[in-house]
Amino acid sequence: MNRVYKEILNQLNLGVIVFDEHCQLLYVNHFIRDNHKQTVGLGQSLFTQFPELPEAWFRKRVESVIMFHNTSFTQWQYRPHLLNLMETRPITGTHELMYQNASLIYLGHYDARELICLVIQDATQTALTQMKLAKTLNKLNQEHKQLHTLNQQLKEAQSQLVQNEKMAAVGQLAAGVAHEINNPMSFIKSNIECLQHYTQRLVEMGHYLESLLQKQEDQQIIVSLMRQKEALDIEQIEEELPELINETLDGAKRIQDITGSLRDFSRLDSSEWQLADIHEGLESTLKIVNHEIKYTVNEIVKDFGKLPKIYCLPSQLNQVFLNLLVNASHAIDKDGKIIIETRFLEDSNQITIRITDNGAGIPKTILSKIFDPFFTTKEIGTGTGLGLSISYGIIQAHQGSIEVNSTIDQGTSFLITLPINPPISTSLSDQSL
Amino acid sequence: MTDTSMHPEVPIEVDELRKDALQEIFNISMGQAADSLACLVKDRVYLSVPQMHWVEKSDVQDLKAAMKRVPKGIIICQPFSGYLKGEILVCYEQGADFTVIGESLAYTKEQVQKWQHELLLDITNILGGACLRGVADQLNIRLEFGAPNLIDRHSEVTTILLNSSSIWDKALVMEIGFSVQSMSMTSDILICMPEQYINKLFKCIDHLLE
Amino acid sequence: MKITVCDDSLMSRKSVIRALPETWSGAITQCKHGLEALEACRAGLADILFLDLTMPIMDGLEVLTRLKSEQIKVSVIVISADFQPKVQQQVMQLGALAFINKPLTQEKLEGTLKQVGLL
Ligand SMILES: Nc1ncnc2c1ncn2[C@@H]1O[C@H](COP(=O)(O)OP(=O)(O)OP(=O)(O)O)[C@@H](O)[C@H]1O
Ligand SMILES: [Mg+2]
Repeated sequence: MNRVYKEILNQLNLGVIVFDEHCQLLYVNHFIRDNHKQTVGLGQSLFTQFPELPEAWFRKRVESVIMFHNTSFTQWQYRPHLLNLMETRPITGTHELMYQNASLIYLGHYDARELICLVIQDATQTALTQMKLAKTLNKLNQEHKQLHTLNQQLKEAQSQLVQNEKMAAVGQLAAGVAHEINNPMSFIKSNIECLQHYTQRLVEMGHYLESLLQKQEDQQIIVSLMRQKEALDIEQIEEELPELINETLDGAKRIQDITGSLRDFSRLDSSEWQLADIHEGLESTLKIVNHEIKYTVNEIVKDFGKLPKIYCLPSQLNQVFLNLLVNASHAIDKDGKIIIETRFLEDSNQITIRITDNGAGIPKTILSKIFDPFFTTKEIGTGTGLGLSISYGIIQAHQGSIEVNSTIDQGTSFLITLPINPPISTSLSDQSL
Repeated sequence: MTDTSMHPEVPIEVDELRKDALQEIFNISMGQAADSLACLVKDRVYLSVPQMHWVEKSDVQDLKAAMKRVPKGIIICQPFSGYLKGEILVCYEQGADFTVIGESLAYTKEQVQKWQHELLLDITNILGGACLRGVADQLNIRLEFGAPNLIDRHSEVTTILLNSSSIWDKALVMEIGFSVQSMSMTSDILICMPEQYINKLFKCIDHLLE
Repeated sequence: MKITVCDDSLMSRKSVIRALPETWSGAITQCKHGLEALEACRAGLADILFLDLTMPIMDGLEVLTRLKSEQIKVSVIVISADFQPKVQQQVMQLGALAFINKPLTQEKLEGTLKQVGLL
């Protein structure tokens, strides 16, 4: 019977090792003998025959198994190669060592000895399949992440595009309206100038008639003239008339100014790359924003250097200036001062435009986010959070850069650097996508 | 002392005698387990008096209310079989310090960090064996254990029990708190047995009560 | 010989009674908690008291303390599932004759009784 048991043990597709409480080796079956790298001798210490076993840890396990009369387990995930058993497939196998699950079993007390059995199960197939799966999953996850960011970028780009288009449409509308207003305005203005001359002459005529009448004899006529003059308040009219007309003329001029700069700002003709004067752009933008910023900003310092014309999309750049100036005015409570500096860097063929305010400043924690689309600290309905992200996109399309520097309670400074001749191929919409 | 929370609508007939006996058997086992665990880890070991809960799956919320605490963390389960069949669920909450236990099982400080999961699997195995060994001995029955498995890294035990695709309907759940002085935190052991095996369990108990 | 068995678990009380030496005869009183046991002792119902430790209303340690302070002479054998060495020490200091770990078996009880000279 004993031989039958032995035969069974030897035929098992499992490794079986029996030893006692001192880890003296008593039995190993064929599976162990056949697959272990070295030959195994019985009666020796487990740890000389299997030097790969971590001794302290293993002895503790044995101790606990004897103490609780239970079985203890190890898994290939944590102890892949408990014993140096070789992979069973020497040809198609890809790993030298076998992955193993093991159980440490308490057998009982025989002949004044505690007997323990270590059973080794070949888990190579499962392990390799699982590791492959895990790798694939990892890769999939990474690709998923990449797709996700790509998607995000696409969305951002799209919203920027939409915003650009919206701004362009608004610009066109404004320019169209400005043009329409400009026509009647020019004849209103010339008519008023005409009226100015005519009224002057009429007043002169009145004076002449009066002096003529003073010279004749009939006192009756003179009295009645003076009465009528008084009743109609002619003296006052004569006094106020030039002022009234001057004021009206001034108003008309201002309307023309505004419509003119509106047209400049969003130049219908300037959706194409062209050589343009940055200072002109800044001036027309200032006129546009003047009414919005004049309540908080007392002083605008224009520190303009000598700039060459640069190759650009002028209306787009104006948009950037507008965003920066409006943001600056929003950051200011009162007594605001905005400095606009422009410089030409001859060495690198670049120009810089710096717009500095003495407003609230930007906290360090959000400094990295202000160029993100939809990032805003303003109340809902006040800011869309798109101003800077659009500006960023525009400057990028010009192959330039925009940087920010800020100190809390002291102010913020944006620095734009633009090449005079950006490589032509870039158009704004290419860049955004 | 026999502070057991009974489910109000337990379908199984559990008279006071059997309940008392079951509780006493578990109390005695915990005493033994704590003693031998202390020997192994060379530290003060504390095992609480087991709380008995009779649960239906549709009412795990009630179990939640009845439990001393509902822990959340790494959950390891270990099946046992033999005359009785069931599972042990152990929940290790985040923040427990296993360095001392690990050292007593010959894990270095770095290994405790690196191989925390294996260590927890081994602790679970030892705990399960220790807690149920005494029960098996007193009832004079055979019990064997399967390999422990990590089933969740961050869940409440009740969520695991509630899993609607699991096959149990009614079960006995024993709630035991486990701590070692150096661990600075309590872990929770739930010994769960489905209804079919409880009748077998009571047969053994009746034998003792004769 | 009058015997009192005190344990909150009926099963444990039964297992004590079942394990008592066959040669013993005499009245057996069962108590479900410490206070009942104390009263049984006061009433002279106990030559020997088998006492559990963890019980409701009054625990075993308290019973031992009271017996000592009231100078009631009873041979007390503690049978408990609490294994802590500190508790065992305390029990012995309070005048118990012996400490037996649960679960109780006939052999364990016989051994202990012989050891303390009650058999
Ligand atoms: N000059 C500045 N001083 C202080 N904070 C600023 C300045 N410029 C921008 N910010 C901060 O950056 C945020 C983003 O600005 P951005 O122009 O992109 O959006 P917004 O001004 O909030 O809204 P809108 O779309 O109307 O421009 C602002 O909400 C503000 O907190
Ligand atoms: Mg803005």
